Amino acid sequence: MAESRKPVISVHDLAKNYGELKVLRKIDMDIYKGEVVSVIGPSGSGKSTFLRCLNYLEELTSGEIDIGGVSLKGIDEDKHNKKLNEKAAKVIRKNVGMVFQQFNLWPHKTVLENVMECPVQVKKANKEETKKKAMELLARVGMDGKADAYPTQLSGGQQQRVAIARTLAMEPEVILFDEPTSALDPEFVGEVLNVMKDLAQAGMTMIVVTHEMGFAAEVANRVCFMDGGYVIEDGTPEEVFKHPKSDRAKQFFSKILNV
Amino acid sequence: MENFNIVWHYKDLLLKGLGYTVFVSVAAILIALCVGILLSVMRMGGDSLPSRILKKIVAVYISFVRGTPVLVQIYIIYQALAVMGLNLSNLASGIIALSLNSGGFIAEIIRGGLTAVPKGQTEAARALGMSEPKILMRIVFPQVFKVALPQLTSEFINVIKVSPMLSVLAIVELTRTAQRLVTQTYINLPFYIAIAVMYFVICAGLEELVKLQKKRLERR
Repeated sequence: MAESRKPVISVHDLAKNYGELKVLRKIDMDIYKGEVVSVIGPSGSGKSTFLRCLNYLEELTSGEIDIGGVSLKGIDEDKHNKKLNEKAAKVIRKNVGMVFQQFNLWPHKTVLENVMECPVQVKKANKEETKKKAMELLARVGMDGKADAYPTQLSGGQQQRVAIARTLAMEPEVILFDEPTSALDPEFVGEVLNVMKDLAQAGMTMIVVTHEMGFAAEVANRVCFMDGGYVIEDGTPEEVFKHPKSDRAKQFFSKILNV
Repeated sequence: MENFNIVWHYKDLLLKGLGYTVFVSVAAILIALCVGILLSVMRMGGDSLPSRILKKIVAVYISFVRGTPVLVQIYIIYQALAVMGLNLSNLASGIIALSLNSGGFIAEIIRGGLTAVPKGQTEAARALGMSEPKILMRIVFPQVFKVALPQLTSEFINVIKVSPMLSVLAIVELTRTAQRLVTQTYINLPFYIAIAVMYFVICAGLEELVKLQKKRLERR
């Protein structure tokens, strides 16, 4: 990608420990506008933790994340960073949306209410306009017919599409996807991936932690392979899948691609 | 039968007593809900020192409420409020005592309900930029109250059934009214049966009301 442009997200020396356990050891990564980055790797490699650090669902142990002019900093360097991070997170979360493995729709609200909740409550947007926009977003993910349904009445794939619409309603610059298809029955994976493909084609910047190698190969324009808390491969899908440099990545691909 | 006619004769006084019982109970329940929510929020903090102190205070408070008789609590609150120089009526003191008692139990009920809201729900709200108070108000508590509704109803009924103890503060609620009429008329059983029926109608009515409401919620 063009090196001269300013990255949307810039990660320096990020590390994250849970007590003694070092989940992220040293992550450096710049993400540019319009990039679709697939983060892949074995379980326990730190992929989800990395993603969760990006919108401060996890405290940073050390290092720094810059997003849109504000930064999150590790609390090992200075305990006061916690307070600053909480402030920064408010700004960051306006720009960075997130879609979860378990969808996490709110079960006491209808599909439409789920999508409208945050624009109305957080951005104080006009209710009528928000409703109109929410219906457009639901149409975009093919869920406008279920606007008045409750989440428990929907299939996993439908719930995840609503969750994507809910995230889009906040008009984020970047969307983080944390294994968005892992909790789905196989027949519903395609419909969610299709929505994500449309988003990618529309130019949305996306970071996707996924086990869907097909999606990573086809839709992503950049693939990061993580293992043991490091990013050990970072390149185009072609480079990473066809010509991995590390033995760990070669082993991993030989296991999953032969299945 | 003669004796029951006497009960009917005093129906206005009894209904007035019932009015007091209902007023005291409703007021106590509403304040107790606020106390319960406040206590729950106080113990939501993390591992920082102030949060730990708050949690300890709540724990001591709840074990005190659960481990001492309501009657003793009513005496203590009544006297303590007087010592603090607050010039409150007996009625207000009584309501406060009942609320502080019930609030402790409601906090325990809410604690149980909180486990019914998966962590992912609050995470999603946080990730979308919602503030912590908004998350509690809009995402967590609506769900907690829905699952905890049966237990909350029992607690509300409990408040109604404990309210006769306020007669020790000379609050003329339903039971105290009946006691007075008994000493006046030397007739006891009919009055006590009458107020038992009145309490039962109130409590059973409340339970039915909640059942209807619950059905409505479940249709979703």
